[in-house]
Amino acid sequence: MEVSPLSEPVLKVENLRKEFGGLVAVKDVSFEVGPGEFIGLIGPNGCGKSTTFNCISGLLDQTAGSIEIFGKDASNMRPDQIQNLGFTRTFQHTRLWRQMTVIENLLVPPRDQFKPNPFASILQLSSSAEEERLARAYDVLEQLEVPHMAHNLASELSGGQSKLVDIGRSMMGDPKLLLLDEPVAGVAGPLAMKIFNNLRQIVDETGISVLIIEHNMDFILRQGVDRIVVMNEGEILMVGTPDEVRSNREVIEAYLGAAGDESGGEEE
Amino acid sequence: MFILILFLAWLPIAESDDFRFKKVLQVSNVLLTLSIFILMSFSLNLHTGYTGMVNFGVIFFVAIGTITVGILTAPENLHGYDWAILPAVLIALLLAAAFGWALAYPTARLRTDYFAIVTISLGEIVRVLLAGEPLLRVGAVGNAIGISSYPLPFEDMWFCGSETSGPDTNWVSPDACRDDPNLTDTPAYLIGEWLNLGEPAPYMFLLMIMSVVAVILVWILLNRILSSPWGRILKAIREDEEVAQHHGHDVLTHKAASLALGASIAALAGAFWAWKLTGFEPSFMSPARSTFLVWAAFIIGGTSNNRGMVVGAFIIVLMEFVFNVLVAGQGSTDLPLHTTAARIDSLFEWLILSPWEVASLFLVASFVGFAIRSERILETGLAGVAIFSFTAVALGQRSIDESFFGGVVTADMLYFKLFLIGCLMLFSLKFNTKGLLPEVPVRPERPNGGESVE
Repeated sequence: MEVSPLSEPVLKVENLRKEFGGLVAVKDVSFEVGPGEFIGLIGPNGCGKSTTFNCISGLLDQTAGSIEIFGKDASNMRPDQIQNLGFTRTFQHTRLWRQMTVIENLLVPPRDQFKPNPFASILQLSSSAEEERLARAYDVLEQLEVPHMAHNLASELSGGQSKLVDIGRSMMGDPKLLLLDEPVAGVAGPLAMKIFNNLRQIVDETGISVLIIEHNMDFILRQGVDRIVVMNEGEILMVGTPDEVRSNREVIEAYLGAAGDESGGEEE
Repeated sequence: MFILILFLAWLPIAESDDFRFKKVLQVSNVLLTLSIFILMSFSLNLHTGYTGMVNFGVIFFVAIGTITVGILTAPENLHGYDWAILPAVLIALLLAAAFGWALAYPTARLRTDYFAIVTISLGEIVRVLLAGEPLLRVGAVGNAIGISSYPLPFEDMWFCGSETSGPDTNWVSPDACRDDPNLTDTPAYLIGEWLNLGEPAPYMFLLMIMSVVAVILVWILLNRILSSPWGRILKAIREDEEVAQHHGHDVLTHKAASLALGASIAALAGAFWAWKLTGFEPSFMSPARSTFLVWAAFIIGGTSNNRGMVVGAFIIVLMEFVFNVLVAGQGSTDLPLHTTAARIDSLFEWLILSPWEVASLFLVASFVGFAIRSERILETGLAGVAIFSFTAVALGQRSIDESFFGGVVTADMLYFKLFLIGCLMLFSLKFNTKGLLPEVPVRPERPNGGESVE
C-alpha cells in the first residue's frame, strides 16, 4: 500500500471505497501516479479495477475516500469537468460513436472547440482552427498506422482497429493523464504488442502519464511498464516494478495463478 | 425531387373561369404547407436525428409559436395585446427556446423512450389547455373557442401598397383595398397582372414566398451549424452520450441548446401556421394532423439528413393534397379525380359488404404462397383471411346501417389517407430503414496546409 511518488503526483487516490448496496466493490484503495509514468493496474476478475476507474473518471460517485487530479479535488466533479482537467479514459468495451466516420470520432474530443467565441465556432466563422484540428487528427491516425481507415464508419472497424481508434480519440483530447481499460483485450498478439509499443512511444515522447488496466499478468510484465499496481478483492496487494512483482511470485500465484494467466477472458 | 415538382404542377383543380387564380392559390397553399412541414421536420431532425432525443412533441413547440403570435398580435378590444408582428414573432421564438432549454433539465436522466412520452404528453397538455381555457379565446367575436382576427404580416402592404388601411382611412381593412379597383400600384395587383390572373394575387402567394425564404434561411443556418464542431458533438451525444461526456463535453448543456434551437425552428413553423390558418382552434394540433405526419416525413425522408426531410415532407404534403382533392371528388362528378374516388369507394364497399369473398381471395393467395413456398405471401394471405373472417363474423347488417348513413358505404378519405401513410411508413421501416436519403457520413480530407508527421 505504500507508494513512492516520483514528484508531484498527477493522480492521487486515497482510501477509495465504493459500495453497491451491500456489496463492497472497492474496499480501500490508495495509490499515486506521477508525471510521465506508465503504470499497469492488474488483478483478477471482479477485483474492483474497473470500478476504481469509474470512480476516478466521475462515472460513479465513491462511497468514501478522495481523488485528486493535478492537485485538484475531483471527488464531486462531472466526467466532462474531469476531462477538462486533462484526463481521458477509455472503456473496457470499446465504445466508438458508431455511425460517425473515424476522422469525425477523432474530431470530437479536442477541448478548445468553442474558443474564443462559441457562436463564431458554431457558425464556422473561422476555418483555420478547424483545419489545424483536422491535420492533427490525421497525424494521430498516422501515428497509430491506420490513416487508411479515416473515412470508414466506426461501425465498420474490426475489434483491434476500434481499440486503436479509441486510443487515438483519447489522444485528441490532449490528456496529461490517460486511463486505458484493457486496451488489448481480445486483440491478437502482434497487434497488442504494437499497441503497447505505441503507448510506450507516446509516453516517452510527450511525457504524459498512462494508467492501464490489464488482467493478463504475463503480458504486462513483458511490456516494460514503469510500475505495477496489483489489486485483489477491492484492495491494493502491492505496488512495485515489474521485477518486484515477478519476484513476489508466491503472492502472484496465490491471487492470480488460476485466473490471471488465462488470456482473453473478460472482466465483468 | 424533380418528379415531385412535376407532380405539383399536375395537381388537378376544377376547370372554371378563374382557373389561373385558383391554380396559383392551390400551388401557393401546397408550397406554404410544405414549408411549414419542412420547418417542423428540420426541428424534429435536429432533436431526434442529430441529438438522439426521441421527440414526439414537435407540435408542443409549434403550438407555442402559433399561440404566442396569435395572442400577442390580436387586437386589444378582442382580448389580444395588439403587438406588432415582428416583436411578437421574436418573443414566440425566444419563449419556445426557453421552454426547450428548460425541458432538458427535468428530462436529463430519462432514456429515449421516456423522453418521448414526456414530449408527447406536453403537446397534449397544451392542446387540452387551449380547448378549455377561456383566456385563450382571443380575437374571436362571440363565444367561439380559439384564436383569430390577428393581423397577417405585410397583408396591408400587399393589398394596399403605399396606402394604409384601418378604421380612419379610406379602406377599412386590407380586404377592402383588394376589392377597390382603383388601387393599381399595389404588389398584389402588379403580381396578379404579371401572372395574368385577372385580379390581385392572393395573400397566400406572399405568405408562401416568405415561408420559402424562411425555409432556405433555416436550411443554410442548420447546414452551417451541423457541420460545425457543435454538430459533431451532437452526433456523438446521439451515438453514446456517456462517452461524449467522458470526452469533455457537458452533455446536458448541449442537449438543452439543441432542444432550444429546434424549438425555435418549430415555433417559426408555428407562426407561419397561424398566418396560414388566419384563425385556429385546438384541433389544428391533433397528433394525427401534425406530429405523426412530421414523423412520417422524418422516417420516409431519411433520418439525419435535411435533404431527406424536404423530400419526406414533400411526399406527405402532396399526399395530403391529393386526398383533399379526392374528398372533393367524392361529392361531385364535375370535379377532378372523381373516377378515382369512385373506384376507391367501390373497393371499400366490396371490402365491407362481402368480407367472405375477400377472405376467400386471401385464402387462395395463401395456398399459392404455400405452393410456391413463399413464406411472405403465405403469411400475408393468412393474415388477410383472419382479418376478413373476423370482419364477416363481427359486422352485421345493423352495424353497417348504423355506421353509414342511408346504407351507402363510402370510404372516409381522411382515414384512407392515414392508412396509406401508415403503409408507407411500414414499407419504409421494413425495406428502407434509413429512409430515402440516409445520413451522409462526414469525410473531411486532410487539409493541404498540414504536413504529415512520420
